[in-house]
Amino acid sequence: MNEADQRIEAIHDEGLESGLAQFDEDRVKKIIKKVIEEEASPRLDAYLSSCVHCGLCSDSCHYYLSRDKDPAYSPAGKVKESLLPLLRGKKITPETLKKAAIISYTHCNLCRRCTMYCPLGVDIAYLISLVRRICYLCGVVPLYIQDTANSHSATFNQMWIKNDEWLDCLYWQEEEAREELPELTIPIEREGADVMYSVIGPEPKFRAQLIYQAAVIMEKAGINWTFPGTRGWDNSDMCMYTGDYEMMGRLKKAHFETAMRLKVDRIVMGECGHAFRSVFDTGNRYLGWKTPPIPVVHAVEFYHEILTQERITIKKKLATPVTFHDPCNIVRGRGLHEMAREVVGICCDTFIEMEPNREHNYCCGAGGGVINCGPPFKNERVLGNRVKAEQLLAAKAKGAEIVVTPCHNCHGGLEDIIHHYGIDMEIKFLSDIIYETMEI
Amino acid sequence: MPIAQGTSPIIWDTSSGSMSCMIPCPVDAPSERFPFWKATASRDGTRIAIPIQSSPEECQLCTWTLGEPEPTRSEPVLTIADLQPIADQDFSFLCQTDEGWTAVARNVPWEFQAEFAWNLRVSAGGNAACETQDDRRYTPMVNGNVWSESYENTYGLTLAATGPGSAAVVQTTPIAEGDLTTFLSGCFTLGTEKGPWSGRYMGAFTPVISSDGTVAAVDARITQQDYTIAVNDQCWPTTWPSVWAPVIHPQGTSVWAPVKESRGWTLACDGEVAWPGRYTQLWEPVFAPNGRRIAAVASPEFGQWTLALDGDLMKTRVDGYLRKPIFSPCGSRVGCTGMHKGKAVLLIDDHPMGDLFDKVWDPVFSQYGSHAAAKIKRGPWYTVFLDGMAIERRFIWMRNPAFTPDGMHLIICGIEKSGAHYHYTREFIALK
Ligand code: SF4
Ligand code: SF4
Repeated sequence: MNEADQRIEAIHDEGLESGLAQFDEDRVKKIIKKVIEEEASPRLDAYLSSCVHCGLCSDSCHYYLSRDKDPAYSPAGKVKESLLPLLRGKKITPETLKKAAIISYTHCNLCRRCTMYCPLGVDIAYLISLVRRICYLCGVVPLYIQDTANSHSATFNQMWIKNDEWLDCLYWQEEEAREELPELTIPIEREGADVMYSVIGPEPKFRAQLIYQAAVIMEKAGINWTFPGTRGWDNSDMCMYTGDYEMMGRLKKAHFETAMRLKVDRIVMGECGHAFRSVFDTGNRYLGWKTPPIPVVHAVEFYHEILTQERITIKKKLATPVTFHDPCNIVRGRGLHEMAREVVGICCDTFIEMEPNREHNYCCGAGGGVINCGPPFKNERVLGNRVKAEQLLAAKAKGAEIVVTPCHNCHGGLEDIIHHYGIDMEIKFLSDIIYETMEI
Repeated sequence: MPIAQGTSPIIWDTSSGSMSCMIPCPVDAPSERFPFWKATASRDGTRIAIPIQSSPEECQLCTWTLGEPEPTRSEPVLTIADLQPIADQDFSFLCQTDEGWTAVARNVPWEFQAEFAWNLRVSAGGNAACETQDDRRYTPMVNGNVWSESYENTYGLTLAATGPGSAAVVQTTPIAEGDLTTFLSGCFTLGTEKGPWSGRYMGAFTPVISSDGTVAAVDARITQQDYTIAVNDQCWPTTWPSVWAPVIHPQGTSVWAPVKESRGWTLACDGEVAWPGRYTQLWEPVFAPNGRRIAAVASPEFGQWTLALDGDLMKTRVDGYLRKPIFSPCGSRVGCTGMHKGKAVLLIDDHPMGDLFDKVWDPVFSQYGSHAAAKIKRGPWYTVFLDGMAIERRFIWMRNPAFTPDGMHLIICGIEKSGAHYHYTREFIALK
């Protein structure tokens, strides 16, 4: 047994085990047939028949590079070890399913870096997502991410936040912010506002200062904005990553419908990457909307707009040298890398590029719901992204002391890497540096 | 008697009622800070209320009445939320004081104080309800009376339009973080003022209740991958991979809901598929008030949206979205709002009307469907779109227009700027 297989076998995860305890081969085969025949797009056949196993994608994957080029971590290798046994294997055992689940949920960030390097354009993330979909329908999902998906089902947010707790947080942040700006309001349910601002669950739960900062930025920029007071305020979506597309659709309907009900012109989203993927790409399309039914603007675009239009002014640039980590979902997924650099340039004196960068940047290792799979998989995630630590260390050697990244997941992933590899760097959101440097 | 949407009650059916009053810009508030977006007019239009910040910590509800020179001001409170009209001339709202949250309906605060209150609902029949949390227990209240039971959480409280009934999704069992087993065992159901249903579901989403309060239904998740509709504590015998919120026939005789079949979405009635068509998407079903027609928003192909009326698709397609359809009180006409090519559209009986506004609100119809009107926004101004034409007025705030029951007049209520001050006007527009 190779090392990767040994690691997989050693994993004990309650979510996977409880699903596997119900294992029924006939049922699993029926689910696979249904997914392949009724759900998979022609892309599946196209990708499987066109992959020539050339291995050109291998060097693009941070897992493969960080695991000393172990083929088990190459993009095509992961498809071979997870999807193919489900599609082509005569016999499917609990072990087959467990391995497929572990690889698909925790050895791939669905970051789509490899797709850029495949001469035939094979989208590995799509194939890995199909494996997750099958695993979800079989009830074999890692505990932590399934619990988050359960929270979405129960509360329509990622953190089991009840409606009063959400509202309470907004009132509390308004009160706090009024000490700095007595005129400030956090408008709740303002029908007809230009902007609905939506965030992810961890903001009210753990990072309420981001709501405060957003309110100050909106106020100073003179934006006619609102927060929803109802379900639909949270734009996050772990169901997209577990493969529970029905619930993903339900979440996105609630989010867009809230914006429609409030009659806003557009949705501005906080600094999150996966939520952007869900709202801008995956969730809207699942529901039948080619593009988001209400224009969606990521925080990077929004900050770029208000800074270049001089709706807010920077009082004094940040002197500490910074580098920038490009989040996959808004850079490979939306091309916001230059805008983000311009925002950093407006707020910071010294900017040091990480290498590689922009659309070639490596994933933080947390993306694709991998960090949400929790402690049983943390080691794999951190060791599987040694190249990110090397990138950070190289930027640090050039003087960068802060790494700026406009994505919650990237914050989580980078924090773990910084901690594990002992890199002395601080991580900040764009709104942190804007708030710190702007005229208030 | 139920009051049809967009039709005003008979008592203020008078064409001599056009009046206005001045709202002086308060010296203690810069004009751009005057929160007109929070304004609410009474249902008869004779009064307008605005919560105004009286100090950094406190606010008051200021109410102007047509014909009276001075506004009345409520006692100062910490927060006023969810302000809305109740009955003909009154208001209801949630308010926070140092003692906690309560609701005020028709100027009377409820006795109950909770740590938190939200989601104030007011029915056409004049009932008011809200959700509350006290000591981490969640208890809806109706007309000042708490429900018979408290829960781990409540969601989506809704009131019967005319009767006293209320319903909400309730969580009956706590779920510790990471406890998949309890979640899978089913911790949600529908609750009413009398208590929870006996069925427990893994999830329940959008509760609905018939206008007399005798039928309640909800879209429920009964296993991780199976959804159905539960009606008065009975699940439909069929399940689907997904369903959307149900709608109850106005007479309470049947329940309908969009369900996802393998070939696409369709409409089911009382557990059986009722429409022949299969669509990329189908949601927001709604009945005509007389119960003879049912319309829903449909996507016949990816990225295209239209209305489906009694199972037939309309011809107009939009590429953005369409919202829940609205029938005229007599059921002969149907309209809805949406977005096409990035611009707001109003669809009336399959005729799109756009280009004349930036935003449009749900249309209202006269009793027999001969007139249709909608509040619209053009640039910073609100006005009314009536039978295909915009009325040449510029309001900085306005509420939805309403027709008099005889169909002779349209009532518009709005605020206009005049000099340093503002005028609130209620106006009757004679219809041809
Ligand atoms: S982690 Fe990224 S680069 Fe690696 S296989 Fe998955 S999508 Fe490709
Ligand atoms: S996915 Fe593309 S690059 Fe990778 S092995 Fe297959 S053909 Fe080669």
